[in-house]
Amino acid sequence: MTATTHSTAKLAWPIDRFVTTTAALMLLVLGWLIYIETAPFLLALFVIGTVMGIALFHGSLGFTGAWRNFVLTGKATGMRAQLLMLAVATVLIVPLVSGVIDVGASGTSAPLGVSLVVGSFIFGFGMQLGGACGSGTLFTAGSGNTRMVITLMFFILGAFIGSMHHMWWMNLPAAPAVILHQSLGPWLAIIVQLAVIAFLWWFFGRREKKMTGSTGWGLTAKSDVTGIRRIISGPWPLLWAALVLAVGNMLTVIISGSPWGITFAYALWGAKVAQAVGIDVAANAYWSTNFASMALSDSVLVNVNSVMAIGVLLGAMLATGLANRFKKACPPNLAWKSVAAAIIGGLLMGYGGRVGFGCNIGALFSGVASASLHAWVWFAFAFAGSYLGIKVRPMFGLPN
Amino acid sequence: MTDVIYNKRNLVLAMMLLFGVIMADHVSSETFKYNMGQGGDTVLLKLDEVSGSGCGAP
Repeated sequence: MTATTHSTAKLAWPIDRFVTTTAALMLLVLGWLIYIETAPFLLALFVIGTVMGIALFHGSLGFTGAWRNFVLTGKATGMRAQLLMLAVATVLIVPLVSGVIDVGASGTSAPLGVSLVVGSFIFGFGMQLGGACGSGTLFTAGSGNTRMVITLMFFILGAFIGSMHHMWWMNLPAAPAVILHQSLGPWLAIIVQLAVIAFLWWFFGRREKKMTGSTGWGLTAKSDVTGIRRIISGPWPLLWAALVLAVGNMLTVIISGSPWGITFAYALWGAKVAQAVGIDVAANAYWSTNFASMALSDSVLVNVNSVMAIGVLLGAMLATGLANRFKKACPPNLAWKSVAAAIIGGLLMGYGGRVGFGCNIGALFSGVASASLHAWVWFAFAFAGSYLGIKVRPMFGLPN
Repeated sequence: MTDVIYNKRNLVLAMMLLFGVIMADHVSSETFKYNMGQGGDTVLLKLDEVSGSGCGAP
């Protein structure tokens, strides 16, 4: 009897076939549509987005919870995962965007000014109320979390409003962008960035030890599930997710010519909806720029950010089905205060992300991978905003 | 064996809505016009002009 029970438990591999099949069908249909209507490189980016969505979900690699955990409890495992991801991305991507390896790519950079500081602070504050960041909102919405779908909708609205105000913010005082691989040379830029990451690794560990009594690696947590089943259904150790995201961003640079970004897609989707209801979006200064106006008049299926964002969303949904966890992280009843926080958080993240040159992915991850100083400024002010957001969460009935 | 805590019909409707919105946007786009042989100023022919804007900053 015992042997039978053990055997059954070992064989049980619960997969939500309905969610898995639905997500797989959507991926196939959209992948086919992208292939026949656009170009093969966009299909490749769609696949990369899908894999990154799987990695984000299976690895539970989020910025919001990790930052909150670190502030409140001192636990720094999530922070270490992010630092590892940034370090690997620096080594893989700086040679590409600096021209050491010529793939015709350029990095992400932005001026250092009021817009960046205010935008990143607002974004950090909003992500604690909204419950996730740019990538986190996508993968948790894809996992069936109703509250995160609300956050996502208002993220899109906020990004659109931010885009309409973008040029006003651009006229505020700012110093030119500082791109470390241009000012220091690519190898010294890599060394400097790795040194900063190493210092932060040490600093986070020191605080963790002081607050919890111990510190450690923590990125290769074991699971009862192993082998191929763990790869397909998760949970992944943070290390796997961090490496997949870093390599995924590198492939994005090689294929699309620039690093991964998310929030432009949200602004674009908002602008398209606004245009559909009769708002003259095209007359706005931001949407009159070459890049934005072409994106506005063309299909989302030829916009790199959009194609990858849709891939992340559906990839996360597929992973959720494979893990049999669809909608399981979703609270059964949403309190109005929680919904209000999702709305405010989404709006602030959208607005802050647009005026602050992106989110944790476009500004931080891809900015660091491009050796642009604005990414580090973004990190500092987003973390400060996040700290304030953590303090405000209890007012909305959100647990800390 | 899975314990379903969502409405399957709603999930299918959400996916159909997503697909419908993407299709509606696509068939009114410059790329679709180009593919149909009706001109169309598709981004795909101007990739050099739109590269390097990963975060969408103009």
